[in-house]
Amino acid sequence: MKVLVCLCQVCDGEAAFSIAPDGLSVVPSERVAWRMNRYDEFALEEALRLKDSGIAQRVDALSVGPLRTLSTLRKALETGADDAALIRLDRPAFPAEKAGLIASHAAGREYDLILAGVMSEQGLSGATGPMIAACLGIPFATAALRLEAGPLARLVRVEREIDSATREAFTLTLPALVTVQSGINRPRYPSLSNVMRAKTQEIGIIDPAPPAAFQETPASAVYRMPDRGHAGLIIRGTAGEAAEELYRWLHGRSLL
Amino acid sequence: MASRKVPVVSDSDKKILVCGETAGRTLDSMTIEAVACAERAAEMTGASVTLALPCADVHEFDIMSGGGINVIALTNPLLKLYSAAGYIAAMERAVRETSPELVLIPGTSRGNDFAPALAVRLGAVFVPGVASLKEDGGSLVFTRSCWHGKAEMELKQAPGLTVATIQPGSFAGPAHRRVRAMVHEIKIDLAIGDTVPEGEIRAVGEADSGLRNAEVIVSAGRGIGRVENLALLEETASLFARSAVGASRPVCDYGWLPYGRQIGQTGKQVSPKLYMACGISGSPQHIAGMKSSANIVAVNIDPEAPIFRYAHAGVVADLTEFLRAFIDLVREKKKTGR
Repeated sequence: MKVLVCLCQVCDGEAAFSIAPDGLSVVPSERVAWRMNRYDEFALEEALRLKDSGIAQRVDALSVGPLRTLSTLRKALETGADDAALIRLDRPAFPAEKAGLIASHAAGREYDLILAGVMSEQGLSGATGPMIAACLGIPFATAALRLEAGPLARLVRVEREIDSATREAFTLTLPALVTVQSGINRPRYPSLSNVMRAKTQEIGIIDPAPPAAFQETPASAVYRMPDRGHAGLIIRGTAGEAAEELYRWLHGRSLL
Repeated sequence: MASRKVPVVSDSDKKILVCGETAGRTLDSMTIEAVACAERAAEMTGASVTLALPCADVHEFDIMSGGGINVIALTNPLLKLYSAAGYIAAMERAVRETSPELVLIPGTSRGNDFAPALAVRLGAVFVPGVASLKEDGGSLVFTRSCWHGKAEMELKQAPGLTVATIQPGSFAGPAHRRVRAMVHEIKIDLAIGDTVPEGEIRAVGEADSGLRNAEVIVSAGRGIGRVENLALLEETASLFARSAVGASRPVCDYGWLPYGRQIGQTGKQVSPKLYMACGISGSPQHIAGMKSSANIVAVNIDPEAPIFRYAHAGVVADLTEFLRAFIDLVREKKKTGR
């Protein structure tokens, strides 16, 4: 089995950012740390487990993004991916466009299974995975909490999450795409031998042809900071002062 | 009963199609929300609303609606079990029948599963996780959360077709009156393809987390830093009567607490008297599970954490230092009779 894992790079959730004056982009602060999307770490681990058990022979990692994304692909190699490639795109893109680019790359490369995280922590849309499957015309399942594959059968069995108490199971004929929910496994740390191997390994950089597939976008997309909500009490100060103030607040509402 | 023609309640050319999920004879709560969202959009644009129900067989549904609503049932025995392929085929047919400009899909686990692929199949613009709506120059503008929940994006509807999912909890309003709608059945062709559903699996023996009956929930997020710090949250919870400790998803993913304690869109939805979010940044998925709590207190080191937008009282502080001080203070007050 040949497995493709789609990885995206996100900035840390605590990182400072601002919105460009024209509202068309979010600008993270310069010192922001970029890392692999956590949901994709689970997808990569699931692929590597298929390889460990002899079901997958090869695990390739693929990203769409600017050159800084190479560090995330390097991390994937260090963690155990066999090969990595970057579809270079220097501007932000909607999931539909990313899916079109990934699908055109994957088409003809005979992947049996394409894995991705259920969503990006940053974009929160969860759309890229199923859109790749739709572009390729292959079956898919999202939010998998269990993935079973055999060495011979051209099938995978997936249990996807409905809520914390309910799942539903599907058997998908390969080739197929599965997005992985967090908690399906415990992602591993890079091994020393893989870190050494990854140091010298080349990562292919692909300049994308305009995707033949799907690129529908809204008439306009403008970022803004959310309203402050109902502007509740904000408590600052030393731990002791803050504790006193919260106590008074709770006491005033008969909660303590 | 089979009918190819969909009656028109409004004479407007503009149409909104809502995809529903049914739980037996009733519509599930997210479908009711999706209808509420569609009716709000219809008020702004003068569109008519049609509810499409992919299902195995047709019967009468009780529908909560503000007014006239068309209902079509897309039926095939294979739709007894959910599959993305089945729902996509049903909704493609519903779109052909009604030629809508907007398809609204509940942002449930299943809605989020098939909606993006449906958008690709239909060549539609996809807008995930709509949290609010407004009108601008005759077009709808959708607002959704992005950038870790810290920023919002306003997306203006383009000409042509838009497929959107609805962020759970965003359009829950006062209950509409109950109407018994006429359901028009459209039988659709489906074949068992390359996706074979086996049906639902329920978790057995999930320990009672005490969350449902708790009046006070102290909830742990990734920001607690270490599993050892859970003890501080348990101590904090013990200061209140009828309290329980909950968690955001990452805490359960780390194995620090069982998934039975998870609060959020994919976990439990709670509305206690007091919800105390400790080290929880406030992703839209978490907010969906706790935003109806009567009093929300958030403790977080990051003043920009989205949770503060929902908090009635927010403490910007190092969590462990603050909780230690708070526990000591409350114990002291209790000892001295305040």
